[in-house]
Amino acid sequence: MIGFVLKRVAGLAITLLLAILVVFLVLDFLPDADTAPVWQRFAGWLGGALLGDFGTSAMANAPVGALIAERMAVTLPLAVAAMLLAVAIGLPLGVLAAWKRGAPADRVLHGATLIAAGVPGFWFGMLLVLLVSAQLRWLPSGGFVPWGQNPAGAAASLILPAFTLALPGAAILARAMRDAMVDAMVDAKAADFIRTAQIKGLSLRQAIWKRGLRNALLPVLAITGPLFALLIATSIVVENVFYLPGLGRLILAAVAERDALVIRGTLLALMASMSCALLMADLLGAWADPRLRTRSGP
Amino acid sequence: MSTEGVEANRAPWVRRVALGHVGLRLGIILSLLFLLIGFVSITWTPYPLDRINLSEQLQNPSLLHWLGTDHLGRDLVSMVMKGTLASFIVAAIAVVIGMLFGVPPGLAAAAWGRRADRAASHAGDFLSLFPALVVAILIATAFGPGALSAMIAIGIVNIGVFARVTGSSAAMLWKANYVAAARLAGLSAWEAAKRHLLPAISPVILVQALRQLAFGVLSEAALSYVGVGIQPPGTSLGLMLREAQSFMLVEPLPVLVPGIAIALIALALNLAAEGLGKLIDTPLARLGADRVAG
Amino acid sequence: MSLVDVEDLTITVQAAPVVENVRFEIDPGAGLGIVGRSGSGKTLIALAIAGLLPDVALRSGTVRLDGAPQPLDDAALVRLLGSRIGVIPQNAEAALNPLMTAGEQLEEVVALGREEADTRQRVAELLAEVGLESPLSGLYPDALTRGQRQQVMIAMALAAEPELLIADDPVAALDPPARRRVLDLFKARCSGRNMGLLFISHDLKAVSALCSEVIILDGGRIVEQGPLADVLGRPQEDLTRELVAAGKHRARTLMRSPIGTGFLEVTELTRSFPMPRRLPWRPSRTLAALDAVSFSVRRSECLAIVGPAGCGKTTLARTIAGLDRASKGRLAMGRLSYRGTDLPKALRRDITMVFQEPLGSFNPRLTVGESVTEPLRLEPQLILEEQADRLVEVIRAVGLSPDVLTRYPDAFAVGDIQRLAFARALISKPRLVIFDEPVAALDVSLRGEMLMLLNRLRADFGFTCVVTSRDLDLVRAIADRVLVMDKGRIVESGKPADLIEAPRHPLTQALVEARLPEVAEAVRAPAVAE
Repeated sequence: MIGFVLKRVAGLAITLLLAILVVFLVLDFLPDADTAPVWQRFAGWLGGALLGDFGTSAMANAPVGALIAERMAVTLPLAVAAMLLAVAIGLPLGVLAAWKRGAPADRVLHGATLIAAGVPGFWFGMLLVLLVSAQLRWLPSGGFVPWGQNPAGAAASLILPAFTLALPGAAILARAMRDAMVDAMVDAKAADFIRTAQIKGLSLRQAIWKRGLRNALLPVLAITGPLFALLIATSIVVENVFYLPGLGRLILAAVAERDALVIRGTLLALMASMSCALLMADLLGAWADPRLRTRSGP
Repeated sequence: MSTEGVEANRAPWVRRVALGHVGLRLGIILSLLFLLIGFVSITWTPYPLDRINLSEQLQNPSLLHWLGTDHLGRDLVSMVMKGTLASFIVAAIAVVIGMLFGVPPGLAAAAWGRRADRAASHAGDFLSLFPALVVAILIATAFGPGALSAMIAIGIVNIGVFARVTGSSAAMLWKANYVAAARLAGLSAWEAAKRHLLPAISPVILVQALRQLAFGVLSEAALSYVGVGIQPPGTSLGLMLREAQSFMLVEPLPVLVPGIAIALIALALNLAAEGLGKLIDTPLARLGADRVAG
Repeated sequence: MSLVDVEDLTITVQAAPVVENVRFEIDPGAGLGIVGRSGSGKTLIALAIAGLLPDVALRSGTVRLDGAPQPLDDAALVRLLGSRIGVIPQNAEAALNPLMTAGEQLEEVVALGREEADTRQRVAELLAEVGLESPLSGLYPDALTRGQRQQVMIAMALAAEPELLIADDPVAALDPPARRRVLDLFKARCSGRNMGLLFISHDLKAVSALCSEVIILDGGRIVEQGPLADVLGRPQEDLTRELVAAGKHRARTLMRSPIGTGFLEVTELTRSFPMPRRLPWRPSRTLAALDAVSFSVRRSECLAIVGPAGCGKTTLARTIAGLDRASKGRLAMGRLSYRGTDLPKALRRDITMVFQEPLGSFNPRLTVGESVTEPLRLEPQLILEEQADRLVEVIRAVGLSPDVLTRYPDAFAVGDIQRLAFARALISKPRLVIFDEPVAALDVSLRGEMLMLLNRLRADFGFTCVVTSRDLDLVRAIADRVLVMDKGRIVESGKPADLIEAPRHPLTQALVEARLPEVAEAVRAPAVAE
């Protein structure tokens, strides 16, 4: 397991470094006063970034590092909350659909996931604003009170965005969970190892829960990493719907102003968070599935 | 066991679709309908889109303007028609990019075996750090935003998806002994792939293409909405949402109409993809059912 | 009172009867064998007795276990399965949970049965009994061979010392030595601990080694039933006679003295796979599938390569055929030499191979005619009529009629698919044909026939032949010379008869000892007696 963890961390670190390099090179097309060779500039910028010095933004006339830190306090809680919501909504619905396979509940859920997969997430956010904020006046329609000023208010202003961001994820997870679960118990009696559990004297119900659920979780775990990473990136769009001062609004403003330093720094922060998400999901997967740890054997 | 399933599986595609379930037919008909609407807009829309008429802004639906007008007085039906076309074009070109650059490496990886597996998993990590939005932001910053940046951004995501789908289904078949038998019969790797792999995986790729078309329509909307996709004076369903957002609380219709159009297109394409996927699956399902009669 | 008493057992699937009016009894300590071809309903009978029939199958008739009717509710059934009835399901090697080590799964069963004993000790004992080494218990199922997984399932079924063992084709995936060991273990449990045995197989030798009663089943109906010596010794029905006859491999080798010497020279052939490192700084490890293998094949001979699963014989076969690449060493045919996938174009027509799984070697989307003619592209000079003649010739030679050629592979029984595979291999008139376990996928009742066909084809077409096998008996029927292989090395070679008479290497000795007595001998001696 230690070997697996080390390999995975090293692999993701190299991947992240490569990704950052690509970002740097693409943005290098922007006119720049600095004439040093590109490698030197990359090393200089990355070295500074690792120490927390991302340069100074021309657009905001402020250190990029401070801008990013301030915006992270909105984006990361939003992404984590959305991921937790997606899991909390998606998995139980998936299990329910699998349990009621073929029954009306399953078909309704199936239709719902198809529709949810077709609805643009940000548009769903707009609908939520129209309904919950404009009509019902339950929650703020946008904007953000800093955590330091009013933690409850800050949390409240993240509720609608988190639901918006969670919807497509919940649909994907519910679908994956249902299919994996059905596969694992495709006629529970026919799944060979569940039948084995029966032969050994476990009851059918025990066999399904003990064996089926754990085995069914594996394919679902395999998609949580990329899904979490995608949610982090998609928060850029959702922040735009709710006028949240997160990394997304920062980067879009920087794109309009063509402020390369801010874009680089923000993408570094985003990609590092995404890599962490991938890593966590991978480790979780390897913990649940011993075969992954020894993968790439003969 | 009857051989009907097998027979149906060898019947021409058109017949199999006609025999397929309701969702599949609905999906295909709706998709074609939207495609038609988009193409009609090339030659005809109820009202021209380049004429701004502030005296008619934000009107409710009427006999003259079936879905009302936007904040610049433009007819929403005409806007949706043009926007549908733009969304389809961006999504379709992104699919072409994905297939062109994704399928060959996928096939090659399958032939390469285990070493390619490891490379593919690293490439997968790398690509998941570059969702369409990030690529579009990069291109928009370096070269300016536009339809092209959206196509390339979505296309790059598609490349990864097609490579993975092709690779995993080809890898399974590549190990099949009938491919080995073809090598014994003197077929080169490429000939064997063409004769034995492509016919088997092309339906899988077709289904994925439909899914990625839906993904492309959704992504184009998101990119144009945040301003790194299609720019005014062009139009797209996502751009309509961007422009309508500020007036949303006053007049919700310009937000509802393009959103519903996007959702319907994506739903139609996904329904079609799901239905076709089930058709492909038939022989596998049959194998599973056979196990009972040992 | 009988341990199992079955009366008028009928099983229907979708209103069609698949098992009809089957009745039998099993006494404590006795063995009942059910013999029949694939699809004759044997498996369903086993599942019915175990109470594990799938929902689509409906059962009527009575099943009594130790005088009491079989419980219908899940809980009571499960109690019975955990303690008094052991089941080895068909396809048992797929029945292990992929997420638990072999040892953990065994411990689970052992712990269910007894609280006090040392479970680890017991697990080690069980593994030893079925012929596995205890370090294997720490491995996950996907690191075990098919045979080893099967052995783990057998250990699991025997863990609770059941009064009744239901074994559905339990030894099919095993190497001969392991098969012998397991059969002996069953026998010891029957006689020593009065275990009743329901043994389902198409291997008459195994049945006659274990059972005192036998049922011959065909299409869900009993064809013959009675004491072993009566049914197999004096068969009344055609099917029984066929089965008994098929068990004897009467095929003889060609007795033609090999011409010349070096037809194919294999020199120091090595194939190693890199293994993943445990930790990045640990040295890399390799696994040698072939370890400096050298031998030569003489013109027109039939050379057999015998060894257990995983000994490297398939890798060797695929390397000779140009489908795999060796890491070191050379293969030479005439003046041309190669190392595997770099097989010279000039040799492509000369060397071909027949695969182990016949069905998997035919593209399900092509008619068998299209598949069989595929190798003709190696002879582009043939005009269409010559191609058609060639096709008809090989199809007739393998005993099929040309009108089957427009069908798809799934319309054939596995034996006929294997015939088609032979036809495909021969259509381009190769000089060397490699048969990778040519009968392993077939029912035992079809094996003799297929070996006879192979011999006849050799006489008709005159090719040189390399056959791999796990079993010495098959080899004796066809091979002129045998190489015994173990862990990637050739450990012994010689004429089949000599090897069987005087085996020197321990593996060869184990293979020889593992041979089961012919049915005729077994019938003469009382079955379950020690």
